[in-house]
Amino acid sequence: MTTESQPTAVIAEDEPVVARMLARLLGEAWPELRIVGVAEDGLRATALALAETPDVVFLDIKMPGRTGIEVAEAVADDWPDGRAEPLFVFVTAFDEFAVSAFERAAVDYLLKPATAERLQQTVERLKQRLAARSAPPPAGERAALMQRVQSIAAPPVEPGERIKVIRAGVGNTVRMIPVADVVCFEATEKYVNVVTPTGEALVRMSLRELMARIDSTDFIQVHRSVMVNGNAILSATRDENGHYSLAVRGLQRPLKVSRAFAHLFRPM
Amino acid sequence: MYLSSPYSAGSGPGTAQWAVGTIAASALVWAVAAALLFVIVPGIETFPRLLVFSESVGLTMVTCVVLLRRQRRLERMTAGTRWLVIGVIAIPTGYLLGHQIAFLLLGEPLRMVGFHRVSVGPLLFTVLVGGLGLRHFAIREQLAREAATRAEAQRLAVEAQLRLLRTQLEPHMLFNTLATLRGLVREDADRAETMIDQLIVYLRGTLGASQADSVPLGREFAQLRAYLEIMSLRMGPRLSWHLELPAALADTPVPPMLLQPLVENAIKHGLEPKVGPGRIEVVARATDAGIEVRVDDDGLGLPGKSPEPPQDDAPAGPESSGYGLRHVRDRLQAVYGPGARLDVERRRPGGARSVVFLPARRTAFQDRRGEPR
Repeated sequence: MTTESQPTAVIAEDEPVVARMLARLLGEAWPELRIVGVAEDGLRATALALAETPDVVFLDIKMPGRTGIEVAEAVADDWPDGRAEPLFVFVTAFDEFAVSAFERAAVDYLLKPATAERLQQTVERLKQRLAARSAPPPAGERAALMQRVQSIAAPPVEPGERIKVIRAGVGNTVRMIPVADVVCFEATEKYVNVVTPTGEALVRMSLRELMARIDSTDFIQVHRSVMVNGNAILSATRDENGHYSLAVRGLQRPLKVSRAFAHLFRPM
Repeated sequence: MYLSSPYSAGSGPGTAQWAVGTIAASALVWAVAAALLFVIVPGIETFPRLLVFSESVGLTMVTCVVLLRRQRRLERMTAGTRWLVIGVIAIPTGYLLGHQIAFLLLGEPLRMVGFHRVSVGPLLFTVLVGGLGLRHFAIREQLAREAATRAEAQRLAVEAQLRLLRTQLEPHMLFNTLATLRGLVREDADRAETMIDQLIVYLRGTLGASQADSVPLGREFAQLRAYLEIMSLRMGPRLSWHLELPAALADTPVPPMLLQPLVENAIKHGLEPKVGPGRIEVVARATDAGIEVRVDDDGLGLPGKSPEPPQDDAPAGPESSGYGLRHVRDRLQAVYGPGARLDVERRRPGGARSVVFLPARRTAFQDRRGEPR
């Protein structure tokens, strides 16, 4: 492996001319950087980044399959142990997300079409980060990286009224679910699935917003899209690949723990 | 003349400034009325006494009117009935109560007025002046209401214009196009030139759309072609497309930017987010009753038909597909009336179809085109 001396990058961009241009501009601005792959949709980008474990990932925000932010979440979630965490650079044609959100996530962002000058700045910043970066980060820090990435998509929520009982619409009725009865929350695309021993219900809110407003400290994150009630966890089982899954009271199926959160379940 | 603006700050009905103004104006009117009465009926009273009576009656009446106007119960009536009721209450009250106030002010014993000979003239005069005053109030109110309606209509028009603009040109579209263009300049100068040409056609069409009442269908199709050429250069082999317009229909006038939002929707919500290749077809054909244009794609289909929890009536922003569709429906309605139609449906196995139907019968809109310029 020559990664110590030669940094690597992956480009995720669905428009081919733009992807080639970014590769060419990077070649001029940072000749040592090796582009190890280009993906033109979000699913392939996730697989490519996890397979190549590059130092830098350039992510277009709007892509087929998965947005750049979702790719970053998935990559951070499943990033293999023993590799230094990747640096994400988001690329977008129009800044729909506040710049501050990107800064909070400790990643750079580029506006398309990127000028050579602006790209040079990004390259300098990336070089600095790479030089300062420690080798494999401690287990807990990867979870932090993922949470930072997640915070881009959902800017900080103003704590509104604290939620003690969740009101979930099921058909024409509204189920009243005390927070303490919830086994886990699972984020789907637009909703949160609220799982209780007696059934499941959807709430139209982001997981992040719900967690910020909920009147409880019992819930812990075990996957980019799952928060589980700590009181309901019975046991954690490790499979041959080192992946953990949880047995949870009131839930028939096991819950998957992503690598970023696996450290929570290692034996003391 | 009565009215600057009913909503300009600090002078609207109900503010202190408005009340002071109304009282001062009324006091002046009733002073003039006293002077008139003094001249018309010589020897009726001394002028100062007459002035006290006139002001007392007048200001009592105005107070009555101001109080009655605030009554919620009266607000349910039509404007005419309401002012009649106000008059029937305010004028006699002003006359009777006003006289008693005047007697108090003059230090005279209170007595009944209006039943002996001398009072008939002043009574009629009071009714006349009071009635004119009320009419003034009523007209002022009506003008204020009309101005409010106008302001609302203006606001809606501005909003529609803004919506059209946003439908016309999205920053996302423009910057992404420039990104590919920038790449092509080095990579393939010929294709870069083609792209600039298409962008010019596209921008001329979209930005000029608000200035024309109608464009020939052929030109609308040329604009669609420019847009699809641009998207092809951007998306590469992922996108394939087909446009079909019978020559006989090319001159038919249609409202500008009628089809563009449908095609952009198909790309933006159907094909761009789809992993893998996609195709779009736009086909116009004449039917017995008019013209039908259909836009088919094999993309992701119509958004948001997954299990929807309640309260799913969030307003559609410019990014959503409902936005473009509403714009097209509004235009169809405005230009053709109920005879035109836009249907949007799901396709099997995947994708969406939108069909615009334009009626053949001549409409006011089409007639306007026939007029000499």
